[in-house]
This record gives sequence, C-alpha cells and structure tokens, in this order.
Amino acid sequence: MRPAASKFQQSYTPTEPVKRGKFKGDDTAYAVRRLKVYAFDPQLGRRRRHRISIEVPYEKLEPGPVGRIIEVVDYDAGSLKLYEPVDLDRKDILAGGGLEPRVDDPQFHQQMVYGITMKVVSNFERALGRALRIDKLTVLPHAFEGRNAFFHPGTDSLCFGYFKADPVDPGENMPGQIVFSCLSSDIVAHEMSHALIHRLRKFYLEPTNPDVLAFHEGLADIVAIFQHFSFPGVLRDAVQESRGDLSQPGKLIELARQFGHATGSGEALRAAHDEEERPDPRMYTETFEPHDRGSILVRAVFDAFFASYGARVEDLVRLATGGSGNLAEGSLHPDLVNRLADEAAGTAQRVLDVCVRAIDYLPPIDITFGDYLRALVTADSELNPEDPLDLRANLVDSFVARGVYPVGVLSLNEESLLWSAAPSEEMTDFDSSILSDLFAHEARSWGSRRELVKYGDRYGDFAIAFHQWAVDNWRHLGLQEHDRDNNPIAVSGFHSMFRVGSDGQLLTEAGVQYTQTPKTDLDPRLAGLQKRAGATVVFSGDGTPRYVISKPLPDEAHDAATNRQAEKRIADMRAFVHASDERDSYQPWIDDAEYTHADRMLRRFELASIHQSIRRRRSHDAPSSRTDSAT
Amino acid sequence: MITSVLVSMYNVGFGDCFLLRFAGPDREHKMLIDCGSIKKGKDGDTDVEIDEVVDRIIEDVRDDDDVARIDVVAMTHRHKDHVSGFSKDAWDEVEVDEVWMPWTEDPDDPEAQRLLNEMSSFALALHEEYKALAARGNLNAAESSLIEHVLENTLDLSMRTHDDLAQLDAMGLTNESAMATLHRGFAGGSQGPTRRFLKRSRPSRPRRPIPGVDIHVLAPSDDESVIADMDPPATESFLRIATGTSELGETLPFAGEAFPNPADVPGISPALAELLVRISNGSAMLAAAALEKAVNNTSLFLAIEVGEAVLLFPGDSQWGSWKLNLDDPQRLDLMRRTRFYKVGHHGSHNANPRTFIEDEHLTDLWCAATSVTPHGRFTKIPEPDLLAELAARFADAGDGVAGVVRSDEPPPAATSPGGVVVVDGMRIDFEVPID
Repeated sequence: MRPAASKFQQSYTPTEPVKRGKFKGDDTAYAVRRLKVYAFDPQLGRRRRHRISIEVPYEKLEPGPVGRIIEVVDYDAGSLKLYEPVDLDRKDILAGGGLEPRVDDPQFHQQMVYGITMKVVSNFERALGRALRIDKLTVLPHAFEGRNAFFHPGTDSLCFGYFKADPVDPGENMPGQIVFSCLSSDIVAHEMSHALIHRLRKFYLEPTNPDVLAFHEGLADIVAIFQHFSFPGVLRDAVQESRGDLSQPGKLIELARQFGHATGSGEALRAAHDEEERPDPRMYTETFEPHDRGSILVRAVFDAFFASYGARVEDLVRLATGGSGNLAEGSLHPDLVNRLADEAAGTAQRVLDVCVRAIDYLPPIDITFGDYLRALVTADSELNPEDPLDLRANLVDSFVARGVYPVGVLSLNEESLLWSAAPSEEMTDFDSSILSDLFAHEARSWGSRRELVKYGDRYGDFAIAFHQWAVDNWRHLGLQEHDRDNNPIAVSGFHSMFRVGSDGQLLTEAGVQYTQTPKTDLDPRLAGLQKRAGATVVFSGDGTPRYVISKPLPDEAHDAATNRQAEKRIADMRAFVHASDERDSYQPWIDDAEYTHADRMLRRFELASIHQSIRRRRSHDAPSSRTDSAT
Repeated sequence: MITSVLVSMYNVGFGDCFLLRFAGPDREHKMLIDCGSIKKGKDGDTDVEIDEVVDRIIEDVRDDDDVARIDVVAMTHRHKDHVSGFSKDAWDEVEVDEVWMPWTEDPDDPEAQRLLNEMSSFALALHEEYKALAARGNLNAAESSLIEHVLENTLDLSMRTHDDLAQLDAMGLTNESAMATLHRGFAGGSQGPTRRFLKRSRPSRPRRPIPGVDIHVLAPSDDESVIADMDPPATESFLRIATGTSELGETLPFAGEAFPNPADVPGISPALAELLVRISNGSAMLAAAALEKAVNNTSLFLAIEVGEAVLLFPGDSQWGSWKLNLDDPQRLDLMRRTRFYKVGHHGSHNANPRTFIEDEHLTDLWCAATSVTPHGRFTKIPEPDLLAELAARFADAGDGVAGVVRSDEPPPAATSPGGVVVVDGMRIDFEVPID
C-alpha cells in the first residue's frame, strides 16, 4: 500500500464520478449465449439464410432482458402499452438458442436488440482489449412512432421508432407495412456504437468543427457494416455473387436496406461504396450534414479495406486459376468461396479492430478526420508493426483521395503520421508502481469474464496520480497551468491497454485523457460551445510517456507553432458556428426562452434531431445502378 | 436609357410589397415585386389594411389615360406574406405585360408539380398533427406560435386534398385566390399577361422586359442540391411520432399492459418519460420550420441591373440559393455592386448571409430596406444583430446614403435622408441613385 496521497488531495480535481451498476457474478458455466436474429432486417430476412444465429458472451439475465450493460424496457409510447419482457434465461429459450425471428412477436424484438447491442459491445471490448465500464443503457425497441432511432445521452437511452412503409413507393415492402427500426441489425448496431463512442469520448457530442458529429456517425456506420462480415453464410453468398469482388454494391456493404426502401428512397439508407467512379475531394470541403460527411469517412475506410483484402486474396486467385489470375466463367468453386470468405472475414475483423482501437489514440476533444487518420496509423502500427497487406498505406491513400489531410505533419509517410512520441527528456516519467497497481486491478477481471473488478477506492488514487503528473507537465501537453478555481486540469478518463508485441510478449500501457476548461465567460460567437484544451497521453508500462495527442488553447508558455494551431482551432470553431447559423432555418422562429442563442450549437446538433432530419426520397428518376470498380 | 429609379416599399406590416418605377426615354416602366401581408402594418395608431395598400398601388400605377398598367409583376414565392394582396378583385382592371413566378409554379413541369404536391401533403399532415397536439394540450406558446404561423403562411398548399378546405377558405386561411390572380388573372385573364416561370441559368441570360434594364434571375435553381432544400422531409410520417394520433390508425397489434403515462412504467426514469412526451412536439416544430424553409427556398431572387447600379431582391431565399451565387464569381461580382438591398426574409439572420453583408467589396450600398413589423413571439425577425451589422456598413459612408430603413419605423420627414420620402404613412419612396 502506498501512503495516503494527502498532498495530492488539494489539487485533485474531481471529474464526474464514474458510476458503475451493481452486477452480480454468476457461476453458470456457459461461455456464450446463442441468439437468433435477422442478419439485416425482416425484408431480407424473408429468406432463411438471412435469419442467423449469433453468439454473445454469456451473462445472467433478468427478464427484459436486463444485463450488465443493457436494460430493455419495452414500453411503446406510440400505443401507450408495456409489452411483456422476454426471459432469455428460461430453459426452453436457452436450449433453443433464443426465440425464432418473428416480426409479430415483440419478445423476439427484445431479444434482437439485446443480441445486436451486446455483439457491438463485444466487438468494442475485443478491439480495445479491455472490458468497458459503462452505465447501464435503457433500450426501448418500440419507443415511438416515427422514422427515427437515436441514442439520447441525457437519459442514457436508445430509442427505436416504428413506422408505416411509404404507401406509394415502399420498395420491396408492402405499401403501408409496419417497419420496425429495432429489427434492423444495422440501425441497432449504429445506435449502440454512438453510445459506446460517447462512453469513450464524451466531448465528441460538442460540435466544435464539422468533423466531430460526422465522426460519430461515420464510425457508427463502419461498425454496423463490418458486422455483416462476421456472418459467414451471408459473406459466402456475397463472395459467390460478386465473384470475389466485395466492393461491388450490394447488401453486404449497405446500411439499413429495409429502412431506406420503406421511406420511398429506392435505396438503402447509406452505403460504403462510392457513388462516383472516383472519390471527389471537394466532398470533404462541401459536405455539411453529419451523416453525409460521415459517409466520406466510411468510404475511405472501406476503400482501404477492399485494397487490403484484394492484396490478401491475390495468391488464392492465382492458385485457383493455374497462375493466370483470371477466374473462369460460372460459379466459383465452393472451396475457393470458403477461403475467400475466410480472408474477407479476417481482414474485416482486423480493419474493424483498428478502427475501434484507434479511439484510444484520439484527442479528448475536437476531433477531425485528419486526427482519426493519424490515430488509425498509430494504432495499427502498434498492433501490426509488419503490415504485410499495406493497410496503413491504403488508409492514407484513400483518405487523401477524399481530400482529408492531417494538419501539421511533414509528409504522408508513416513516420510523420504517427502521433509524435513525447519529448521525454523534458517530461517526467509517471510512477511505474502506480501503473503496476492499475494493471493488476485490470488483470484481476480476466479470470472471470463475467465480473468486472472495480477500481473501487483505488480509483481516486489513480486519478490523483495522473492528475498530479499533468500539473507537473502541462507545458508539454498543450495545456495551461493548473488553477483549481479558474482553470483546472481535469482527468476525464484513464484505462489500461494490453497488446501482444511483435516479439510475442504482452505489452501493457495506460491511456489518460485530460481536459481543461478555463472558467471564463462564454464567447458569444461560439454559441454555447466551450473553449477547451485537451490531451490524450499514452504511457508505456515503465511510466514513460509514449504519445501525446493534444488540442491546445493559446498560451504564452507555448511555442509559436502550438499557438498557431491553437488560434486556428478557435477560428475554425467560430467559422463553423457561422456556417451552421447560416444554414439554420429554425432559429429565427424560436425565442430565446425556448432555444437560447447561447446554446444553439448544442441544441441543433442533438443526435435525436439530426437523425430525424434525414430525408431521402427518390425523385422520379430511379437511382442509376453501378457496375464499375474493382478492388 | 433609364434616367431615374424610384422604389416604393409599401407599408404592409409583416410582408413584402415593392413597386419599382424606371423613367425611360418615352415612358415610365413599372415592376411590382410581391404584394402580401400576414400581419397588418400601422400608420401611427391606425391599422393599414392590405386592401388599402392594393387600392393605393393601383392608383399609383395608373397612367395618364387612366389605365392601370404594370410591365412586370413578380411573385417571389407563394407565402401569404408575399401574395395575400393578389386575392383582391381590383387587379382585374390592371394591364400587366408579364407575370413572373419561380419555376416551381410551372403547371407543365412535372418536377415542379411533384414539389408542390410534397409540400401540400406535408402542410396537410402538419395541420392534422397540430390539431391533435393542441387537443392534448401538449404545446407551449412558442410551439403553437411557430406552427400556427407556418400553417397560416402555407395552407393553400394543402388545397388539392384537404377536406376542410372550404372551411379554411372561408376563414381566409388559404392563398388560393391570390394564386389564381397570378396564374389566370389581371386584365385579359389567362389570355392577358404572359406568364413566365423562371429559374437560374448558367451562364446568366438576363431578361430585358424594360429597355435599358437587365434583370438576372439568381434563384431558384433547378440544381439538385437546391431542390433538396425545397423538399420537405419525406412525407407526413415525419410528423407522426406522437402518441394517440397514430398514422397507423390503430396501435401496434401486440398484447400489452396499458400505461397511459410513461412515468409510471418501471425502468423509465422521469427524464426519459419527459423525452418520450416531448419528442412529438419537437418533431412538429422542426417540421414546421422545415416546411417554411422549403417554400422560402423556391423564392425568385432577382438582381436588377441599371447601368452600374444593382438592386437586389432576394425574396426569402435561404442558404442554398445564396451559396450557389456567392460561389459563382460572375454573380458575386453583380451582387457586390448592390446599391438597393431588399433585406432578405424580413431581416432574419439565415436569409442574409454574413459573408455577403460583411463583404468588403460591397462598397456601393446605398440603402438596406427592411419590410417588417414585430410579429408574435418572433423576436429574432428582424434580427437586431443583423440590422446593427447592416447599419455599420453605412457608418463611414457620409450623408449621401439612405442607410437601413425599416417599413415599420419610417424616418421622420425632418431627418429623412436625401432621396427617401415617406408618403401618407402608406409607403416609403427611395430615389435610388444611378449613374
């Protein structure tokens, strides 16, 4: 035990306490729970092969289901009724691998939202290499009648709407048929991803630049679409249909097909392939709406995925074609299909892992797509230093092709894109014995996957120590001097990181996020946005700071380059407020009491309302089909 | 050669009505841009009815032979505050050469008819939704006033399908008779004036109905991104997320326990219960604003070029239409030569982009005319910051300029700047300097 840290106590800034729900471990010896779901949605699910069984880590469930992270409450605010909760631990349901997919059974709807949301959780936990400590989310599969679904951070809830398909243009649905957004695995995965991103970076709902909300939307789509690649039957079909070229438009890389068709748009809600033959870099400068802008990110990531998958299966195709590389007419051999599908699934998992893992290398505030590119490169070079598939180069190429450049880097080569290693000779190391304690705490959770060991009393100790380190090293973090009353440095989160190094040894690191919000009057030109500084620091196990990812505010202690970056950030924020004002046709009508001028940026970018404003209705021209593009 | 330009801003209250007179070598040419009001103007303590304004205009355009003539009548968009005056029978005697409307009014253009139908069914749905929400007592004052305003401004859109139409018409709640005048009325009826449905062209091909005057149509465009702004969010289901008045017609066919109040449901926190109730109202608010914007975006946006001088009439154009022109060097050059600026959308911030107002090349500005009167709870129309910024444009301009002039606060005769004359509390005249 270390002595009580009384001298730290004075300067410790309490951050929002991390609440943890009471979870009781269970000694039931199941490793996984199998649940039946629609792979996509009921429209495609009419075919048997699109009704699949997924596996999520087993946990004891109360009727609802209510588990460690998810609490399904099936209250239908459209019909003002509460539907009976499903008990997934009932023996007959357990034995049958869950209820059969049925549109007319609300208990199956409850099962499906539980299954898909927990699949997303396990994807995140797998990629991050740690269990998420997260407040329980209330999930309403039938929250209201409407073409919308959203994560609401204020109430920690996921709300899914239902609606009647367009009476005139319902796509492959019946005119007027009821469409449930909770039965679209994409929509559920998308909304759950919002919740998890919010858990990891709570300031990413502050629209400080056009990329912030777009990142939320884009990553949520990426997670949802990559989830398709973990359904083997679906993937094998797609490989056979596309003759191995997965970049061809089709359900595999589309998002929310039934939802899109049912609204009369004649197409899926969004898709991961480009509409044009070549990406147009002007899209990045001109696209404003968060979902559309997020699609730029989705397409960049998928482009890189297709390129890496192509490289990975080249040899297989040569083997299968006697060296020519030209596939013969007709169906592919089932063995080849299986092998291609395996490679696609493996590559998809690797790309998804790095997309999620990159979050650990993102600044705590004010993210841009350029930051995300650097985080992807950094995360991947940590996880896969060798990179035989050139994934990192492919990512850089596809971001650049879409006009996304990181700022302040010397070149687009990997060494320039890695977040700068900290100038460690000027910085103090972090006390490695405290890190050892932190790792030990985390490691105790490994024995039982069903029980998270809480930091408990030690939480404060860890936070205090991390805080004190920043108070001593603020200059190197782009922060300002700690002032408890007027400009406190706050620890907004910390966690351990585990990975296997290139020598096969386990490497342990720790990530910490700092934010600093000067207590000054709000700048009226920022319309409710706070000026904050922030830094993410990654420590190696011995306490050496390895990466410093900072978003500075101007300060005389900083060098000129840092201050230029800081000034530009503020100027960009103002420009974004201005651009949002000019497009906002709602604001003139609402008086300050209802929609205050002061917080208008936060109000207009609430997830619930931006999700609602999606509109896609096809005009008289049917969308042109696309046939070009290969990996 | 045009020797003088006189612009009259009529005192219609909350609305737009501008008469332009161009003195040509052989006769005076006249152009009327909009004639509508949604809230009466005031002359001192006396109301000014739109009917009086119409009678006055017809007197004002009467030629020496006692025939009322207008070369061009332009309607920017079909909102009540821009068209209501056209419902008067008195227009039947007025000889009009050309009636200009945005392309979205063209009865022979299927895309225009599609847009109109979308807006129409959307307005109808909003109306239904409003009745349901109001019946449940769910709306607060701000919500009611926005939705009521938008419905009042737009309801003619639901003409085609609405059952309550006769009733609404009787209450004067639709713009259909005004639109009938524009499409089929004036002297000679449908055989009288030439009807033109205008859109932005690229490159600009100015219209020349008046010798010596080039009139550029800057909007509406038929560019896809701008049309998207004219489409109200897809169909009425957008609105139907409220409890009770389900478009499903019945509740979901699932058995369940009735819970009229979400706050009573185990597992639903008070905040979540409130969210579930409020989300329906918030949706109706957003829908109302979206409909208003959709119609505003059909606005004709005219740049009237007389020699070097430009008179800019953006109607109620919103961001999409503005951006298209601000990004176009040729049009931007034209706009920078503005001398007379009809302030967009009664002075709301999003219809007057700052990039334009603060443009350092906008050096010839002589007058910014704002046709407005305080209306209901809309304290940001006009937006005080915007008017202050416009006023700042004239700070260094010396005595020769008219500056910012509001229709509801006419300058007293004694201090009235040169070239600005208030006539009978009925209109404000601007003698726009031309070279």
